Amino acid sequence: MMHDLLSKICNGHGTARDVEMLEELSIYVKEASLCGLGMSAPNPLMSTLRYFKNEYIEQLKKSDAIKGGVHG
Amino acid sequence: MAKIPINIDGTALEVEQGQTILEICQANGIEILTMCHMKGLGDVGACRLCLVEIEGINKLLPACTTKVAANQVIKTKTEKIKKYQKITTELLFAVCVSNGKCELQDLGYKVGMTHVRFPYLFPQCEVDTSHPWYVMDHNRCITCTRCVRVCSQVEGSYNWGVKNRGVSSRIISDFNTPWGESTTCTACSKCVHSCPTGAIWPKAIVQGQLTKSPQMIADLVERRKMNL
Ligand code: FES
Repeated sequence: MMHDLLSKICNGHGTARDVEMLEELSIYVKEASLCGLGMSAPNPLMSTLRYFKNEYIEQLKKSDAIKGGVHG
Repeated sequence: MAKIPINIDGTALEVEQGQTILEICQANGIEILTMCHMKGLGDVGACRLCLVEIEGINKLLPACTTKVAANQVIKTKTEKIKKYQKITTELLFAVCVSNGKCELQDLGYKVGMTHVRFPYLFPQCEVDTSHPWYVMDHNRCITCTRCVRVCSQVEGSYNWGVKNRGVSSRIISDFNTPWGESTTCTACSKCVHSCPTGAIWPKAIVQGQLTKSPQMIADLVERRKMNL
């Protein structure tokens, strides 16, 4: 599910809501997991969200531009 | 047994050692949401609905499998817990397409769910109709493993098991063979009553008319203890 969200954003179909949900799910998985794998699996993703937020925002802007082009 | 002091949601309690947090909460009228827990069966901590916050421990622990320790300060209703309960329920819905009356639906109302924000997975699962009396619809299964535990721990026939991991986990009959061909199933119907959704149901009944008595399993376990 998180992989799908990330792919959606990378492919230029993402929205701000998707990034928000990705953040929410990462924290949820990290904290609510039963096993050690689940507790650390979202870490790489969370790091990108923390240190490369600008890239996410850039990508969203690009996506908006594409969508704007298609629909308007 | 020795009594130990603990604190749940701001109430100081004196409780017996060796109990789980869930047992204590239920005995003291503190509501904890559960799904994979079933009275009379051993707990596995699979659904993560009963998570509670404990002061001094930096992760959330499931109330059903965590034993109390002296001087614990437990919080069961923080904003974080409520938020997580909602996500957990939504994620369960994302794999379950049951629309009959089910414990999962009740849970949805309880956590104040209005819709599922996550994309439905719609796994194309098999429906096993090979058993003469019952049907197993894997599309509605949330793999809480209540049927697996009731089959081994209460009926003692070990028909149900689990294969694979994560989203590809599936409940299997015997060695992943059709339920109807099972050499271990006694057709006792305990799994039907333990199923929280509409995944296991008797053929003779129309979905929605089925009344289950999950309490029966806990009663049975209690009565057996008395006979010993
Ligand atoms: S009821 Fe405790 S984890 Fe499911």
